[in-house]
Amino acid sequence: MGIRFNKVSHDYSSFSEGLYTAIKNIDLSITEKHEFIALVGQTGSGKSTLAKHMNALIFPTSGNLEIYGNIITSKRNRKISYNDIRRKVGLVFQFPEYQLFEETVEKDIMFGPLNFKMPVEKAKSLAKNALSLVGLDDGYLSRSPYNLSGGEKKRVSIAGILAMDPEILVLDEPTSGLDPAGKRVLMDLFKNINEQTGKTIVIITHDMDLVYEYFNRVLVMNKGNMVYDGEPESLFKQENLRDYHLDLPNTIKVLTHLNNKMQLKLNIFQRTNELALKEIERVIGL
Amino acid sequence: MSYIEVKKLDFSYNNKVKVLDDVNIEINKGEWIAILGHNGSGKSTLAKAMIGLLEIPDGHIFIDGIELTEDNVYQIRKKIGIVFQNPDNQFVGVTVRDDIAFGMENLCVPRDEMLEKIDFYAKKVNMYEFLDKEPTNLSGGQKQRVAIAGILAMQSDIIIFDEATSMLDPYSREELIDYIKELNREGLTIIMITHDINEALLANRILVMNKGKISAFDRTENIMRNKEVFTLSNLELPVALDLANSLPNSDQGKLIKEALWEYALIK
Repeated sequence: MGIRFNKVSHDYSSFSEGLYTAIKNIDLSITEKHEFIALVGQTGSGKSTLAKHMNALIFPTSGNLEIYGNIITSKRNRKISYNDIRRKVGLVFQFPEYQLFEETVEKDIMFGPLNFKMPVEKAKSLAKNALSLVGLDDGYLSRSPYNLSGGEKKRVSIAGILAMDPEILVLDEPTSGLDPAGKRVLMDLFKNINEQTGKTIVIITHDMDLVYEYFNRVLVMNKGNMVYDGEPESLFKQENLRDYHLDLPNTIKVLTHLNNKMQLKLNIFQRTNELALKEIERVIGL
Repeated sequence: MSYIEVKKLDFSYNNKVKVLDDVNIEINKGEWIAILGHNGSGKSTLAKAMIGLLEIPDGHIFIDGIELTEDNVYQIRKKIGIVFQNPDNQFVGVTVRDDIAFGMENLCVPRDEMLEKIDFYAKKVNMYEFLDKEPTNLSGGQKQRVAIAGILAMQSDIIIFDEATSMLDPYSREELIDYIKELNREGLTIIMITHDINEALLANRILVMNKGKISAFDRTENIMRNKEVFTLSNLELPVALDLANSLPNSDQGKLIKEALWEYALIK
């Protein structure tokens, strides 16, 4: 179960550039429970295209996908309930804030649940609950989404997806543009959902600090190919990180600087500031 | 008079909560200023006010000695340009060439001069070979460079970057930052709105906003030592300084602290 890509390729055709292959021959397996996966890579490397396949929003040009037992090919199949797939796999786009359109925050969050035929009262309570999950108080329910700041809009739109209670969540850069505190609130929220409900969560990000601190599996896309699928630490040990337009997390950079500058023998692979501090203290004998 | 002066600036959307509350700023020519603050603290509103994108708020804004009014907003925009977070939102042209031309067309720059400038500034931002491409097919970093070329072509010497790197992959981000450093060395005044503390470290001075007010405006090093501001405004210290603050004051602890500070303040 879950999602399995079998040799999936996707072509786009563009007016000026002709046919363009966004992802090539992707084999990938994501289990429906307990996974917490980061998807990284250069802008235009195919991350978003890959994500859009995960809930059958777009179909492969060649190859196929299995999503909860449904075989998705290049052609629409009448026997498959795509609605059902999209309720099971919730996708939050890169600019969810552009999708806000209702008069109030409450109506906006209720839209999804109502669309899936949930009773109004139930949808209301889901909306309230989802809003508090993303760190906004009830006062926001009656506000117009248009007068919110960028970060607030982002959280409201994520609440909209949470209210539908999908089994797998796929989020395209959910933390970009958020302040550090807001970023942490959301990442902790996703991690909590993952740990407490076992829902698999896939997050697209450019933030290597987050990748290192929060995730145990990272997928790297480069020019349409999947070039890495494994845990973050071995990725950061790879020499060709720059070729993938990636960078090292700050803890590794800082500890490397200390090693060079002061001839220390710190183990540079520390996921958090706390662990980095412990490592320094260990080496200077505290 | 400073190159940029903001005096007693107040602003609210629909007369409700104050988004800007008694904001006073002076910025010198050629400075690099970073603006930090939580989401909704008023950073972007301040930027919009400075380039005349908001209806004139209460207070005064002077750019190079000229007060921003409804009548001279186009004159002011020749001096000051803005690059937004999402490069896709700022493209108007069908090709990169059209896009760089857009600002100049509005200023009625003669055609020959315009063509010359397009070539010149496209080369300057390393986008010359892309002049006839569609902006949609460029990478995020390339799009931001096209936006910069459009601003430079109007002879602006102040550029506001409103979270302009936040959507870029790490490599493109570094490339853009290097480019901004070069512009600053050439004398451009840089105002950079960011959530990335490592980016803010590159500035000469940092302005911290909190709920529409300025909670601190000081040299970068002093801001980094101001723990109160960091707590109050919910900011995070850069990794190196967070470690430095937590280390003991033993002899070796002090040496490591020094190395960490040095690392953090490298421009």
